Amino acid sequence: MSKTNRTESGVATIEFALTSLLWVPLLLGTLVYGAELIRAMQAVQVARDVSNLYAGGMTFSTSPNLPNDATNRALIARLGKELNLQTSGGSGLIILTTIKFISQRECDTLTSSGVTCTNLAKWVVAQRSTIGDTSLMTSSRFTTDPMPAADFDDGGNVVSATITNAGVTYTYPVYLTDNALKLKSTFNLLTIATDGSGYPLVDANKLPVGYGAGTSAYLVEASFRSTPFPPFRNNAGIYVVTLF
Amino acid sequence: MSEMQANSPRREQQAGVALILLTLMLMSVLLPMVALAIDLTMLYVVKSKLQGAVDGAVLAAGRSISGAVSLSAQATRMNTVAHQFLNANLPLNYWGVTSAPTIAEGTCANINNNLSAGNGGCILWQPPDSREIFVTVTASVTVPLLFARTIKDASGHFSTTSAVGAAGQAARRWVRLVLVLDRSNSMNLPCSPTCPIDALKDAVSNSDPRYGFVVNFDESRDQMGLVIFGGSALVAYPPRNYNLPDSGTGPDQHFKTGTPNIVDQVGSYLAAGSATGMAEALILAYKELTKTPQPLYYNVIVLFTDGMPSSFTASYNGNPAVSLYPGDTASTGSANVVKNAGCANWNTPLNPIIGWMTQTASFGNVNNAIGIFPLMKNSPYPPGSVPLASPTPTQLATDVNGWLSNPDRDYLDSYGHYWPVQTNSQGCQFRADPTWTSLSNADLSSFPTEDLYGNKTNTIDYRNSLLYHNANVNLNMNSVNNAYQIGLASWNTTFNAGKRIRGDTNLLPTIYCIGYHGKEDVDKALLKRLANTNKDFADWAHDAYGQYLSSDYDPNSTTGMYYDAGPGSIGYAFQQVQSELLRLSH
Repeated sequence: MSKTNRTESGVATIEFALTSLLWVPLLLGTLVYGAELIRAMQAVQVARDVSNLYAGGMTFSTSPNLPNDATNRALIARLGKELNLQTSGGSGLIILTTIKFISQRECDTLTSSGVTCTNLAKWVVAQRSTIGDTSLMTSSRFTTDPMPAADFDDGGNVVSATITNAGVTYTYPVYLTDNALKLKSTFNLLTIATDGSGYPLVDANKLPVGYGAGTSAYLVEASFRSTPFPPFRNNAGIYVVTLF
Repeated sequence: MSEMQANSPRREQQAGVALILLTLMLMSVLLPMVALAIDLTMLYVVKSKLQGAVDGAVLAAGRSISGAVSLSAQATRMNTVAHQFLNANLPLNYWGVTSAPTIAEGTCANINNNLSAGNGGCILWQPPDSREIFVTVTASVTVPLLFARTIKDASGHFSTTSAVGAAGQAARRWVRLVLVLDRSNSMNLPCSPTCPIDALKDAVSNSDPRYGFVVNFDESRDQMGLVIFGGSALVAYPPRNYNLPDSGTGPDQHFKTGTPNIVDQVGSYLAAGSATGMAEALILAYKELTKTPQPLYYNVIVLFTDGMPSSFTASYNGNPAVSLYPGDTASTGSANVVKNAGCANWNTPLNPIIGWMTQTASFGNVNNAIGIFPLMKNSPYPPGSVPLASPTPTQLATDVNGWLSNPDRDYLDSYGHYWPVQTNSQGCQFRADPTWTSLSNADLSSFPTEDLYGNKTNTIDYRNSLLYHNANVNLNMNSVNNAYQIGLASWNTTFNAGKRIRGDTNLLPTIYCIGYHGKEDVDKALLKRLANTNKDFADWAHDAYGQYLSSDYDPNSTTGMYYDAGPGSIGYAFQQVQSELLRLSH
């Protein structure tokens, strides 16, 4: 009796231990993976909402003289509350960038000015705002940060420069000429068709083929911190990019 | 012992049963549940991403709307743009997605756009009797399944993929717009690479949608009007009875093909000359918007100028005593400022003395001759008020095309003689001699406190002007013969006109401004204030043309935009305005 009991004792524990090798990782993995999926969905949702507002004309600068912007920033923080997005600090960062493609049509504004249109056929930054913890991403994936502060006004818009040549005054946005404002070659989300002379390619109706050069597009990058849980989750965080 | 022997086989048989049962349960219940949860969540993540991509596609396609060609031609482009943005937002391999999203074309029959499916025919549409145009994108993408492929679907088949769909829609309000164009004398020079007036005419009236402004708006949807200004201003389109300034319907839908139309008025007749009466032009434009008001439209004024305000139109003897500003009951009009000594019979009978006053010394802080000049013959406030000259100045412009073609005719006759407001029978001259070389302040005691439309001349707003920045001399309402002072008073009327127009909470007019840097300085800060832009704030360090700080922006008023234009870029500036106007309002 005692021998048999000794033989059987611990079998359930061993079986539990053996089976747990299978289901504990499965359970933990499911929990971690599920939580990460939920955060990914939340991040996508936040990026989408922010993009909608940004493309609709809402601005998010830190200028103390633009009271609506502070309200708008607070609105974004509320949208990302579940991800601990705050107007500054917190666990998330939103980088908002208005971009333009510079064709020869835009560069024509510098004709006879003596100024070289450095950024011809390049995507450039026209406006930039950030919301949240800027230490989370020290640089956008598509721009060379930090860009020169003198290139922006306190609303985050790229400023204009003025030059007088042969008695004629030319005023032009510095994104036509400043190399620091062009997007990196990693930005390959959108292609603008131009002809051999650098002008936007048009169809039989003289409409641009596809998205037009010189028209703004709105790039939103959302990044959120993740708690590491190796081996199921490393500390990569969540990154979402949208282009509206 | 026997019990033990008897029980032993059963116990041996039971050993490992839990493992088997658990394994079976894992295989049959737990794993499928986890698998389904993972697959469904994955589908949900992709759907969420696809929804964002559709939103981006809809807005981008909407920003590309042009009124220049048919809906079907535009729909083809919308389709291309929508695909570009769908692909940009939902890259291949996102959660295993191996093919680009497709746009559904199957619902065309239900949206009444008279287009056919294919090439985006269902993307762009317009319901009957609506004041909006819609962009609708319905897209789907195929997602490979990981675990759920082991489960039969409703039709009894195993499926390795599942389709995820999303739809988005945005609308653009139709535009009701008044173009306000400067044809002052400085628009004649310098002609490099093109004379500014010719570049302006081309930018507005070119029939190629890449270069022309008007052509990009659609007569079946949008409405447009035209105001031209020199020293005085005139509604050049749509045509109206100039003795009845409140007559007419305001901007209409025949601006491209009607007789007359804006393309012809600008392209064929417009010539440069005269001064810069910006306030009257803005108010006339606003008065046009208030005729048959359309709050559901996007009500817009687009102002182009190359200079600073140098003139304003007023009633000098207090008649009429009330403002001609639409719906304004607050204004009491300006009191009489005509000196009895110079105009002994100014009020016998009490005829209105109305005209525009200007200077000829480039805003210098010097006394120089000024004149008060009549508005177009037989026009406009009130009928018959001016000119009061004798003999009748028959050579002054008497119709719109004559006025547009002969800009100096608002103060010169065809022989080059000045025709100021003068009432010989009443003793008022309002200028000393035909050469403008001596003073005319003998007739006026001060500037009127309001222009003809109730815009104040005597506020301290002028301290934000480029003029004041350069000279730092305060406004003196009694210095009626001083060029600089006329500039300050004119600046005040213009600034206040913009402020009052944007204050209409029913129409919510938005002002867009284009400043051309040519022969004369343009006051960028004034134009930014008129537009009430929340962009392009300036500072003295890098901007010599005026100061507009973020604190000057009024968040409670409509927000417009300001655009710079230089030699060769007038057309591009108009293109930027057009792009901004035609983007979606959603």
